[in-house]
Amino acid sequence: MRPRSSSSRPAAALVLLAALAAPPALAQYREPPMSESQRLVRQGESAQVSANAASASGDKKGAEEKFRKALQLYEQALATEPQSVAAAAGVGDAANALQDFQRTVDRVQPVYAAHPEELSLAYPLGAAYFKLRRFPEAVPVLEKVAAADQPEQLIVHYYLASYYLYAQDGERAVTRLQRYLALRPEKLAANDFQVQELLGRAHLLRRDAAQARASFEKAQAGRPEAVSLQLGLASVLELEGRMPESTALLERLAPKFPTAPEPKERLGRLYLAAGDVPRAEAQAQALVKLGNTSAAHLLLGDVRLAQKQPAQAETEFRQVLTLQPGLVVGQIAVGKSLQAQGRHEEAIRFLEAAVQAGGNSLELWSTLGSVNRRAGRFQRAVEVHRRVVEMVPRRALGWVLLGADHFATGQWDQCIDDYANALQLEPDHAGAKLWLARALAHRARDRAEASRLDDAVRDLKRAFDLDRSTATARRLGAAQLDARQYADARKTLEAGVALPGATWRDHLLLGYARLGAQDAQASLDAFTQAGKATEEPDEQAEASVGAALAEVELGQVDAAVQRLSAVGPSKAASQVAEANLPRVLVRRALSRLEAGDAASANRDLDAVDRVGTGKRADLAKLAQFARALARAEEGRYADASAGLKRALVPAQRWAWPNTRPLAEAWVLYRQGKVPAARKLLPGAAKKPMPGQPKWVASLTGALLRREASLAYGTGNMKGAEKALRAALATEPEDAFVQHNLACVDWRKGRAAEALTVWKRLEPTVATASLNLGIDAQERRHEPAEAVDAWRRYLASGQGARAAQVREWKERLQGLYGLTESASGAPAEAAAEETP
Amino acid sequence: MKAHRIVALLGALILGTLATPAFAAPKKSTLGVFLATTLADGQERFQYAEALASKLEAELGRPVAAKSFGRYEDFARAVSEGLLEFAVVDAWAAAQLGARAVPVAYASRSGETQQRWAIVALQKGTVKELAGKRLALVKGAGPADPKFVTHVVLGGDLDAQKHFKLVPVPNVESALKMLEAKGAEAALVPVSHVSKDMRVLFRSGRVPGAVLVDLKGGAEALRGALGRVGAVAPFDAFLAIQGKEFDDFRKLVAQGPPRRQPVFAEAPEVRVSAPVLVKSDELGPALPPFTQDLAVSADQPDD
Repeated sequence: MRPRSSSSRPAAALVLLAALAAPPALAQYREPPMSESQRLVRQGESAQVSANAASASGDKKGAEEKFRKALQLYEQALATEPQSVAAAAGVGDAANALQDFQRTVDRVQPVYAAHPEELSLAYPLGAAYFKLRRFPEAVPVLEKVAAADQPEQLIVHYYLASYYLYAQDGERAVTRLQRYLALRPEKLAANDFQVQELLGRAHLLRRDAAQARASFEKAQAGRPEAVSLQLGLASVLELEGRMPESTALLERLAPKFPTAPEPKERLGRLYLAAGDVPRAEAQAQALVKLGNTSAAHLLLGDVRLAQKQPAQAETEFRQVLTLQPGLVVGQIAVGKSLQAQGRHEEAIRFLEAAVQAGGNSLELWSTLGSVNRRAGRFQRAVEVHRRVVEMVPRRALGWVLLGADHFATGQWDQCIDDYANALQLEPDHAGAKLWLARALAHRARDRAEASRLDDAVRDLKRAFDLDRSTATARRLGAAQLDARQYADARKTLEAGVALPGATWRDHLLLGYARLGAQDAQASLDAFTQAGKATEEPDEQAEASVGAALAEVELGQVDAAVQRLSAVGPSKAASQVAEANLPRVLVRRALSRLEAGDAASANRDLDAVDRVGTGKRADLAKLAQFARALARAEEGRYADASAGLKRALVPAQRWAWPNTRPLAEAWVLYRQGKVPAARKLLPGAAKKPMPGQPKWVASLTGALLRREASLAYGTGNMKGAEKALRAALATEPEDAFVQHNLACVDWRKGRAAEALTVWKRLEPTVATASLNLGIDAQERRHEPAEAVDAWRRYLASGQGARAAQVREWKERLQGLYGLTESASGAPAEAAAEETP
Repeated sequence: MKAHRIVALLGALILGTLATPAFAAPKKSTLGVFLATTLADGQERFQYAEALASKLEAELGRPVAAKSFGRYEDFARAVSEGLLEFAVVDAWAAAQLGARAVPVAYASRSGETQQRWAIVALQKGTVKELAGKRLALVKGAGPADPKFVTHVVLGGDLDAQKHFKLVPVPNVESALKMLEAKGAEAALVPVSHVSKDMRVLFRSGRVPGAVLVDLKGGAEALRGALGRVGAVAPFDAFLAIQGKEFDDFRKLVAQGPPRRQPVFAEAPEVRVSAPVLVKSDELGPALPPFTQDLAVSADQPDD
C-alpha cells in the first residue's frame, strides 16, 4: 500500500492550478518527489525481492542476508515515519522470514493498533503471535486475515485450523481446512492428504463419524497404509460405538506396525476401558519394551491401578515423571495412586508441590481439589476448585467439581448453584444434570422434613426435569401427595409408572394421587396394579387398603369395609385402615342424611360403633355428631340436641367454629321451632365458612317460608306477607315463595295477580294447580275449570293433599256430570272403590 | 202442646207400669234405636235393639230395655222426655240431637264406621239437571235436614234447599218407594241401599254411619262396658270415638265445610349438608404420609 495522505494535498493544489491554467498546462503534471521513508521502503522491497529469489533458488545464506538487508531498510523507514504502514508491513514480513517473531510483534503491533483495517499488517502480526503461541491474540487477527480470503495468505487458514484442533473446536477447524483446500494452488495439491487427515480429526471432534471416515479414507486413498490414518479410522469406529471392530482394527495394526507405539497404547486403553485387564497389561508391557516412554509407563500404571496395586502404579507413574518431569497427567496419576493407597496427606502434599512448582494445569488443579475432597478437607477442595473455575470460566468443569465438594458437605444451596452454573455453560453436561437432580432431591427431603412442602415440590419438579427417572418421579409424586397437590401428583406419577423400572410402590402412590384427584376408578386400577407388582404380603396389604379406599369412593362400601377389617400383619396397612374405616362409615352416614335417609345413616353409625374408633377421640365425636343429626331426621329432637352438645363440647378439629349453632338451628327448624331457629341463625352465619352461605340462605328461606305458613294458617296475612317478602329478598327466584306470596295476594283480594303467578308457576309447583282450582270453584264458580285444574294437580303425582282434592274433584264431577275421560262417567269410575 | 202432655203422661204411665214390679230392683235403663237410614227393615231394627239391650244388661249388670223407633220425631221426643239412657242412632240424627247426645262409639259394619250417600234416580242424568226437582229425604229434625245434605253430602258445593224440592220421608224404605211411585224424581240414601235398577247420579264422600250415644251422663260406664259387649248383628263390635271427631262432624253438619282457601306450597325440607357442618378434608380418605419416598441414596459424585 502506498501512503495516500502524504500526496493528497499537493494533488489538490495541482487541481486548482490546472483549473486556473490553460489546458496545455495539464501536460506539465509530474508525480511529486518521494519522501525519505518511501524511498527506504522502495529499497527494502527490492532487497526483499532478491531475498525471495535467493530463497527460491535454495541459497539459504544469501536469502538470510538479503532479508536482513530488507529488514534494516524497513526499520529505517519506520524510524523516519513511525506510522508508515508500508514500513511496518515490510518489517513484519522480513522479521517473520528471519523467524524473529518477537520483533514483528514489537514493531507491527503499534502501527496495527492505529490501522486495524490493514491486512498487510494483520497478516505478519497474526502469524508472529501464532508462532509465539500467543493464541488469544493471534486468533482474532488471523480470523480478520482469513475473512479476506486472499490466496497469497493461504497459510492463515492452516494456522487457524491447527489452533482450533488444539482447542477442540471441530466446527471452526473444519471451516478453515475447507477454505484452505479451496484456495490452495494446484502445485500444493500433493499435500492434500495431510489436510484430509486434519479434516478427519476435526470431524471426529464434531462427532461426525461419516464425514470423519470419508476424510480419513480420502487421505489414505492410493497411499500405503499409514498408522495415523488407521488410528483415525479406529476412532471413527469407537465414535460409532463399534468397539469390537475398533479393537479388531487395532489388533491388526499393532503387529503390522510392531514398532509403532500408538496402536499398542490405544489397544491397551481400549482393553482397560473394557475391563480386560490382562490383555491391557500385555499391551502395556509390550509398549514399555518398545520404548521407555512416559506414555508406556502411564498405561502400565493405570493397569496397576485397575489391578488394585496402587503402590506398583505409583512406581510406574513416578517413572513417567522421571522421563518427563512436570508432565501433568503423570503428576495427577501419582497423586491418585497415593490416594488409592490411603495416603491422602501425601497425595495432597504431592499435588500441592506440583502446583507450587508451576504445574499450572487444569487437570492438576482439578485433581488437587478432588483429592482434598476425598481426604475430607473440604475447604481446601472448594478453594482449589474455585481456581479451576477462574482458569476455565467458560467451561462447566470447575462448577461441577465445586458441586461435588458442596455435595460431600451437604451444603445443598451452594451445590445446586454450582451445578446450575455448570449447566448454564454446558446445558447438556450429563454429570451436572444427574448430580443437580440428586442435590435437589436431598434439599427437597430436608425441606419436606421442615414442613416446607411447597419448596420441596419445587425442587423435585426441577430435579424431574433434569432426570426423568422413576426414582425422581416417585419423590416428586410423594412430595406432591404430602402437599395435597393431587392433580399434579397424578400427572407426575403417571409419567413415572410409564418409565422403565417402575415398581409396586410407584403404582401405589399413583393410586393415592388419583384417589386424591377424585378419580376412584383409575385409582382402583392403580392399586390393583400395585398389588400385582409385588409378592411381598405386607406390600400387597398396603395395595389392598388403598384399593379399599377407592372402592369406598365407588360406592362399594361393603367390599371396602371387608378389606379394611382384614388387613393382616402389615403395620403400614393397618394404620391406613384404622384411620379410614370409621371415617368411611361416618362419611356415608352423612351423605345418607343429606338424602334424608336416617335409617341407613343409623346402620352405618352402628357399624362405626362395632368397628370402634381406636384412639381417635375426634372420630368418635364425629360419629356422635352424625348420630345426633340422624336423630333429628327421625324426629327425636331432644336426643338430637343432647347429642349435638355431647359431640361438639369441647370444640372439635373437624368442626367449623359455627358448626354447633348451625346444626342446632337446623334441628330447631326440623322441630318446627321457627322463632328459636330464626334467632340462632344470624349469629351462626355471621362469619360463614366456605360453602356455607348457600346452605344458610336456603335454611333462612325455609324458616321464613315456615313462618309465613304459620302466620297464613292463623289468618295473619300481614305477617305472612312480611316473611315471604324477606324470603324473596334472599332468594328472588324461589318459585315456592312466589307461589305462596300469590296465596296472600288472593286472600287480600288481589286475585288476578295471584292467578297470573300461579299460571306461570304451574309447571314447577303442583300446588299452583290446586289453587287455580280453588279460585275457579270458590270465587268464579266455574266447576268445570276447577275440575280441570285439580285433575292437573292430581296428575302431577306430588300433591300432599291428593285424597282431599280427589274427593273435591269427584264431587264436582258428580254434581255437574263432568266426565273424567272417554272411558265413562265419573260415577262409574268411582263405584269401583266404593265399599 | 196438649198432645205432647198426653203423650208424656202416657209415657209416664207406661214407665210406671213397667217400673212397678222392679221397684226394689236396680233402676231399669232404656236403649233407644233409631236407624232409619242405616237399617232399612223395621224388623231388623227391632231385633237389633233387643239383642243389644240384653248384651248391655249382662255387661252393665242392670236391666236394660230396648226401644226401636221408626221415625225421628218419636225418637227425639223420647230423648227430650228423658226416657232413654242411651241410643244407637244414625250419625246425622245424632248430630241433630245436639249436645244432649254424648257420642261414645261407632257401630261399625263390615269394618267400616263410615258410609257414602248416593243421590239416585230411575233415569239417567246429572244432579245439575235435577234443578227444581223433588228429592226424597229421610226426615230428621226438619230445619237441620237440608243442612246435612248441603254441608255433608254435597260438601258445600251445591245448596240442596235451593236446588231441590225436598220431600221428607220417615226412612230409607219409604224414600225408595217414593221414587218408585214417582212421588220424587230422586232420593238420597246410603249407597248400601241402592238397588240395581236405580241410577246413581251422585255419590258423597264418607260420612259416619251409626253411633252409640249416651243421653244421661253415663258415658263413662258405657264406655267401660263396651269392650265386653262385642259384636251384635248386623254390626261389628263398637269402636270408641276418639277425641273430638264427632264434634267435627256435628260442626260440619251445622256450619258446612269452611270455604276453600288457597294453600301454601311446601318446599322440600332442608337437609343437612356435610361440608357445611364438617370440614371436608376431615371426611375424605386419610392418606398415609409419603415422607419415606423422599429418601435419597448416599451416593456421592466423584471425578
